[in-house]
Amino acid sequence: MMLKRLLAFTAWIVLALSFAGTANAQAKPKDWDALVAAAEKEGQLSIAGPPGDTYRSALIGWFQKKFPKIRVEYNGASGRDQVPRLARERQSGVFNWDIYIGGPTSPLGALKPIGAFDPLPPELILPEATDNAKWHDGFRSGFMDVEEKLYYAFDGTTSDVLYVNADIVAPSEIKAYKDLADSKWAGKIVWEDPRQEGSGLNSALLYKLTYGEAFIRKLLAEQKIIFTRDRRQLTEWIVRGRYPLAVSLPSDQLKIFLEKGIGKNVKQVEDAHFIQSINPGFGAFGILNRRPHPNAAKLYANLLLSVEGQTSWAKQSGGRNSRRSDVPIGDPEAALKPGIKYIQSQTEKMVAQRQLMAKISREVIPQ
Amino acid sequence: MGLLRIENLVKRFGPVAAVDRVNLEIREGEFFTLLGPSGCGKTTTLRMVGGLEKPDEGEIHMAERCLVSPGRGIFVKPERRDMGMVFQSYALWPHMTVFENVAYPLKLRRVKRSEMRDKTRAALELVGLGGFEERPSTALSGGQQQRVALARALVFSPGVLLLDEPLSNLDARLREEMRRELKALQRRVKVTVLFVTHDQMEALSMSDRVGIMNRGRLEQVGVPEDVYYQPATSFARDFLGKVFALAGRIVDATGEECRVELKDHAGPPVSVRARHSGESPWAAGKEVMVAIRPEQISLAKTAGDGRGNVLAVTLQASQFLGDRYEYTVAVGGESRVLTAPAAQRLKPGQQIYLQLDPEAITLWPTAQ
Amino acid sequence: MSNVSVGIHSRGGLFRGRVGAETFWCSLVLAVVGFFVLYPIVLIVVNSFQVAKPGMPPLYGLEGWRAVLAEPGLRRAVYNTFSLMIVRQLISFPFAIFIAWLLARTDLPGKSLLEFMFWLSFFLPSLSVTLGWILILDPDYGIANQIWKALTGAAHGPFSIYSFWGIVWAHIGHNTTAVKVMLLTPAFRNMDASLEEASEVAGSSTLGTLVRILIPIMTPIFTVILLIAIINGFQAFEIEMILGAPINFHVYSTKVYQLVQQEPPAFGPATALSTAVLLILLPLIAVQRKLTARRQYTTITGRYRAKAIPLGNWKNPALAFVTLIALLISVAPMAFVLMGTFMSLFGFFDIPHAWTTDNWKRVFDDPIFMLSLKNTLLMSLGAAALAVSLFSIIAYISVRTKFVWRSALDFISWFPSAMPGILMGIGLLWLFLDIPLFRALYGSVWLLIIATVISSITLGTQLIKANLLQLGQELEEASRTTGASWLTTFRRIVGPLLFPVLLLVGVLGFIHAARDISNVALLATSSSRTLALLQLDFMVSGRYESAAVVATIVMLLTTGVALIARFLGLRVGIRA
Repeated sequence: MMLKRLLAFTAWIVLALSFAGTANAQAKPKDWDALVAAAEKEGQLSIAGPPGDTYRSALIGWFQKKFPKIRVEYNGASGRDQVPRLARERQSGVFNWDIYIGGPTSPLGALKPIGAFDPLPPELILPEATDNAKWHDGFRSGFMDVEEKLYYAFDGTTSDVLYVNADIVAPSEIKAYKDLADSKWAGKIVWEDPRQEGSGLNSALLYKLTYGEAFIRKLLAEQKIIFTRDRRQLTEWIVRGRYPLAVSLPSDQLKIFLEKGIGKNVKQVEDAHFIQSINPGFGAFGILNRRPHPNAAKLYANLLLSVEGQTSWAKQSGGRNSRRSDVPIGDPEAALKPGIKYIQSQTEKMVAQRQLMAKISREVIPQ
Repeated sequence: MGLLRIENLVKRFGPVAAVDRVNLEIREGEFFTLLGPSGCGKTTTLRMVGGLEKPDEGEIHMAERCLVSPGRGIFVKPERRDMGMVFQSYALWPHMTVFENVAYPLKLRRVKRSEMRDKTRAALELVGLGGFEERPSTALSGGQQQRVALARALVFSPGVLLLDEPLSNLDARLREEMRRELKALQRRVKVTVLFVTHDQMEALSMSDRVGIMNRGRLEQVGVPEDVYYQPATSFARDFLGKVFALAGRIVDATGEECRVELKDHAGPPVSVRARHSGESPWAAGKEVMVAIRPEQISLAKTAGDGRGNVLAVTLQASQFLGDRYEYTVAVGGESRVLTAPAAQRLKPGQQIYLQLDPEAITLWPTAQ
Repeated sequence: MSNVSVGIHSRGGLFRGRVGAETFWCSLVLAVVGFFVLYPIVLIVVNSFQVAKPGMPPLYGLEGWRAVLAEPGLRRAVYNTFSLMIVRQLISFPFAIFIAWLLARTDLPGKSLLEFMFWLSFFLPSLSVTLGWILILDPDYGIANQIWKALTGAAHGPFSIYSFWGIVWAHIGHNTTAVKVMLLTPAFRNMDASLEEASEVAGSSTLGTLVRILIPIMTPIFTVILLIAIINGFQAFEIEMILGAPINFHVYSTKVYQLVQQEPPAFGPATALSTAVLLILLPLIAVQRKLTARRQYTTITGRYRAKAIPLGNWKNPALAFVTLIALLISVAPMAFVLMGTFMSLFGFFDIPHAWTTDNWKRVFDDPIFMLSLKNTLLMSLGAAALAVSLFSIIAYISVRTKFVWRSALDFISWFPSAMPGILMGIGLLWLFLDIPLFRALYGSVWLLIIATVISSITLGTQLIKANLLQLGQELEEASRTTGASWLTTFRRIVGPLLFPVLLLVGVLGFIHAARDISNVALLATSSSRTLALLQLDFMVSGRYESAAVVATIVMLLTTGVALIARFLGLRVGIRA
């Protein structure tokens, strides 16, 4: 009897333990600890990431705290500086970087063709990271390359196209995005320069996709738009009301003003008829091949896509959102709404379209 | 026995030979001057001796040591030549005091501090600048700067002192004073000097020997009196001083004496000692130039005893210059200027007689 | 590099030197400098014919050149570049000459302090100063216009910083005048007073002497500064970008930037455009060399005399004039910069908590601040030291030796500044990656030092060269004949006499390295990042106030270095 009871108890314990084991396995795969150990043994992780102190802390702050044994080399620079450099380094046999993080256009244009990226899916072993239910429109919709395996956008910030300064322009005066073409707004619009890659080009492309090429050509050519490359200047101008309308207003910049208690008068124009899109900004990444720290890179890639990594992105990147639905929202106005199908305007498929839009901009903007 | 020997020295700047096959020997303790107009190659020669220019051909020896020989690939750097040099612009270093300037060569030679101080003081005393040690070199007058440069060049007792027109930047009175001092100084310290100047007064008054340079060539070397009174070339003749020259034709050339009939001038032919007569052999009928230094002509109111060469001329004007008179006379239709001691007073319009010592006359081909 | 020549010349202790030694060492310097300068530039030029897409095998053609010619607004941009350049120089040159002369040659009171104010103006960060001027001269909310409106009741103020004249003002009020005063003052100071005295004895007035004697005799330094101003006019970029873009006013450099910023970057057309500008500049460089080669410009001779000209009744007006300009271009902008670092939002005075120390806190709390500070100091001091030694060797060879290729050496020292920084940075990246020797140093501070020194070679070399031309050769010869070797002469005579300019070159090398972005962005890794990149980080995040803090720290570092340099400069150099 005693033995029976003991056996039963043991069985119960074993069962309980094995359940616990399965539950654990669901959170972390069985070789996870080995991965952590191997990564810590490598002791370093080298990331070529976006510029700016906010992105730097959003992308690596949490990881460094979690794994103090792994030193994170983070080199922040824009794609213009980073990509030609990486391409040339690889050509000379220098393989210094594990992970590239940044807007998709430059790396897809110059790093993918030289075979710099390894496929992501084999590296992603953490179930939580690739859980379809937790990612808007499913996990796969974040892939930016045609093959859907090399470059992944985790950012889920919608494109905020048109803003008004409500102190000067009443919301009733401008209801639809196409109202921008009204001649009464001539000389009153500021727009991030669409002749180069960036959100100004993105907005122009969305206008083109919604209203057609003739519309955007006319708009850029005739509305006496003020084009600037200085995002902070653009934001200050609409906040001060110097130009009451702003296309491609950077929400992270507006947030700086809002933090100090000004800029509340700047409102997004809502127009359901305008194309809905995600603009991932710098929030996309790929794993480079021949990387010096493969285990640390694998560990980071998995955790970046986990709740922990994405929470940090949403909370600390200064107004960006994640495509994950189970993390906080960084910018409510630019949050993804469930059920809506957004187009990804920065995928490799869109590259030709973007380049065409930039070319049109260079042609029609009066010089 | 030469201390400094220059053999076949050539320096070209582009196609032009600035120094053209110069040969020269300078004796120990000698004050030797290279005299010539600017651009004659004298400074270039000096700079080659000092090691500041490299010759294209030829050799320079000091005592038994070859200083430079492009042919043998030898070039001793300036700092190894043991020569002191004073530059035309003095070349004092404006960031140093007088003392620092003069002590510099001693410092380089790692002379002990106390000895350095004594030697520097002594050198400054020598040039009459005792007590000026702590002055900045930029706060001195031209003459004082010149003395500092001299002290600096002498302080390390070099084998040879090179002087590149050191007096040319001084005003006239100071120059005369420095000329005397420099010569006295050289006698006292017994240094061998190679001096370069374009001023024939400096050259004649200070030198043991003078070398006349023209267009890169050394035309004549000799003691000052010889080169002055017996110039070997027409260039030397004209460059060294004023010349009283008359055109004529040789009527008779026998042995030691030539007789020249002066053009446009009645009277007996002029006698010339043949040994004084320039470079080419003379023959009767040849057109020549008779030359004499004006100060070797004596003026007289009367024709005298008729011996020697006497020319009758008309006095056109006279000017009193204090220690002497300057007379303008008409000879053969041309006006010439002569000077004579103030003791003798002559009146314009008067007929006077010029006595030309046959020994002092030189004879030159007319072409020159 | 300097060490190499140290080795050579001290070994010259041999009794007899071979004739070819000078040629050998000069050739070595030429080979090294030529390699570092020409390798990247040749690659850039070759690249202008490269038309293949990234990742494809190279393909050559004229597409890049054709694209440049077809670039809309190019002609307008070139016209704008030239008109800006000419107007700026016409205004600033006479001012700078006059001020430098007052500071260097006269008994103007407080001239040492005043001169340093012009240095400070040069150290001020461009962007912060420009933002300051926007705050004052913005057509709508600019303080000057607000005051005007309040006084006159007019609807609009008269000033607009977003205009041609606004850009001109931003340049003149910042670097254009200051740098000239900085460069000219030492040159004026090195002038022999007897030159002026001779002119005055001949009956010329003081001002007449300035115009007729001093200015002509300073031709070498003037032509160098003018040519560098022209080249900088091509490269100037930040101010044009901020003030020109909104009014659709473009210049050559913003065009190049625009091309490189495209996606994919239009390196072909950008390099083609830069190559074309290099080709335009080459004849100008040749003309400058001709102009200065023809005559003698020695102003420090062996019978140098120094003397300040008494200003007499003009003392107070002159003092007022120089002080006013110094205040306008140094103290006022410095006030903006400092004020900006303590504002929540630069230029917003009427918000709650307008004043804060958060910007400083944000910088000091940044995890990479200390590392960046350390790297900046190491790199800038290294660059200053390398710049001074390398540039003086180059200048010395091209002025003082009879080395056959000396003019080639001088000529190539002009090249790096004729290339836009972005492209030169890429060219240097290629160089360092292609040569295995450098690959071992890749990512280290040492390559950053080399890169920034190469890219600042023009100004430093030409500055030393112009000052060396003023130095009578007999000063060196006198040293040689008293028994000093070449090296001793360089150390004891040339070095001290050039000391003021060498310090200036060192300070310029320091600030150039500390501010450099185009090279550092391409060559640094996380362990060799500098403050300039930290500043860029804050800029990108829109934290202009914290960026201004970093720029202020760089400025303070430079000021500290400059103060030490000036203090040393007072002990060495010509004694008046």
